[in-house]
Amino acid sequence: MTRRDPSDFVSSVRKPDDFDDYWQATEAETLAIPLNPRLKPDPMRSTAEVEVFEARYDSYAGLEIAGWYCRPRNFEGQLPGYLFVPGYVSEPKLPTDLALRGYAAFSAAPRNKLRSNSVFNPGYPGLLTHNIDKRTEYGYRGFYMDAIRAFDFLSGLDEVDSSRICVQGGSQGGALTLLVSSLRADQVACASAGAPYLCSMMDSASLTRSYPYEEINDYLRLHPEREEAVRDTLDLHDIHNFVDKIECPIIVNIGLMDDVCPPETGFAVFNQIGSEDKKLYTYEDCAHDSGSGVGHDKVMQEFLDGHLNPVAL
Amino acid sequence: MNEYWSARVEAAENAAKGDVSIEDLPIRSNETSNAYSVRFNGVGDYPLYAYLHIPKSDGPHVPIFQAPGYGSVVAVPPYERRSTYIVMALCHRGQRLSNSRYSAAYPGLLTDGLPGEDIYIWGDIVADCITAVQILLQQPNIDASRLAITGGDLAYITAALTKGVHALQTGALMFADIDNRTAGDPDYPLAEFNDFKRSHPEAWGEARATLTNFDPAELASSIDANKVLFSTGAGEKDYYDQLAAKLSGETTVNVNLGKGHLDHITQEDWLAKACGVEKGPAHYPRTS
Repeated sequence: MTRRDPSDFVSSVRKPDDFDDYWQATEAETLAIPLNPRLKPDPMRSTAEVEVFEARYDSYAGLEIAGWYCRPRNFEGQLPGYLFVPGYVSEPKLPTDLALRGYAAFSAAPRNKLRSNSVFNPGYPGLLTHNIDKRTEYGYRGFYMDAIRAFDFLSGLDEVDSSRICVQGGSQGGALTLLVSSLRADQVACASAGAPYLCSMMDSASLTRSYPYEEINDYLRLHPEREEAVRDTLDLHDIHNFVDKIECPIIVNIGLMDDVCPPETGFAVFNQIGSEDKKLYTYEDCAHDSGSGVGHDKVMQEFLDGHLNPVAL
Repeated sequence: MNEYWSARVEAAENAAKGDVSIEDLPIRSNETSNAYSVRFNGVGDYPLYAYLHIPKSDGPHVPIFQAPGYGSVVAVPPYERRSTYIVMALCHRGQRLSNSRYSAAYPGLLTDGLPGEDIYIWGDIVADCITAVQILLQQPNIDASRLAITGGDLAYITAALTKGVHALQTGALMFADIDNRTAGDPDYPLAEFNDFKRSHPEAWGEARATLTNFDPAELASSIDANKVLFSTGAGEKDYYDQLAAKLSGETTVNVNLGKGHLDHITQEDWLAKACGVEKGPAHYPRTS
């Protein structure tokens, strides 16, 4: 038995008729809540070169969301902005390294992450299947809005040049990068998405037995009668259905042996991206690391810095 | 074993003699293994949680203690391991599912309680691991002579403080070579040490002495595992070569290729060979 070429994969995701209406309504509901951005200095994590702040803002359904904000201590004029969006189980990074590179950097902790989980806390495993059979109550509905609002937080800061903001992340962060680049298509200057998760979700669950997608297999093993409802919910939230709106220069990297986010779905979502200025990097024998151990971090840094021209400290 | 650890190990082993609750966890069971929620108290009567996975095939099975990493979430063990080994994955105090009385912060956990060695949280976290291993060894249908421990610092330290470990698979040790590795601008979590130094310069001397209890080099003579694998990046190979020279067991230092799929195969093949088992069937990529 041989493996099919993952680049030939055709996604089974369907775009629901109400997809655009659903997300416009969700965004309108979110925007009706004042962002209420707050920054609190964190002297212990700050250095002579970088100032660190604990950030808070309000998001969908009124939940308070946390984040980290870092900026160079001394700078002139406005800074390019860098939104870092996190993976599924990892804690959001404290982006002092990005501030050292000359960015105003925001690292978001969407709901369910530590510091943002006092109200919504389905845990890990748990988030991927939280209300998965209830299409408008699915956990990722608010989670997606938390990422959008993180971008709004960053772009609203006086010291940030709103024409020079990038979005970057890997895995779930890759998914959120694609999401923000889609729903803020007129504002994101460039983006880098690694091993994107939440793409062709039902297909992914059938391609792998690794978590987090295994959560879907676990759920359907116990509730096989709910498969159609689950597919309907996931189609409504699948990143594959957003990305035709992306306009900015963007790079995507995938590992050709990624058991966490199958490369088949990475090829499929890349093909769907609307931007003409897009490039896919594929890495043989890499898994969910998707090239980070063989030089992709440098590729990514040069791509983002090349578009945004930060002044490194 | 020094005085710092001998009292903690005794307390941790005594904690394992307390009540243990093991309940079915059907949502994480599958066609090859059954899953269970394990609840017990660690030192100080601290309530702890662990996943336990037992293959459906006939035993006895090799037990693996999958030591927790540095982060709030403990993952369900991988599919291949669950089908082949009895695997316990502990959530230490402060991590999700074991955070009813204390919630760890990231960053923050690495320096929580410094400088004093009596209240540095990692002493109790290591004790949680030792208790969990003893509870794993109490389970029926295991081959205790082939106990394996995998993970980072907590795997290494637990192996140093537990008698009868057969195989230790480890690497990327946070407590290794702290002075050299905190020079300059290291990434988190190592940067937490620099944050502490900057905020409490007067206390760093005492903190550094506390951290010596967790130093892999200091603990090397206590590691009596028969087989050890260190996986490392090329830049730290020399350190691990020197550490390996201090161990009594058959020790391999493997430099990662930086290609996750191949590095994963190397590590799991080593583990299966060290434990004398057939590796579980690969589930990815699926073929058609």
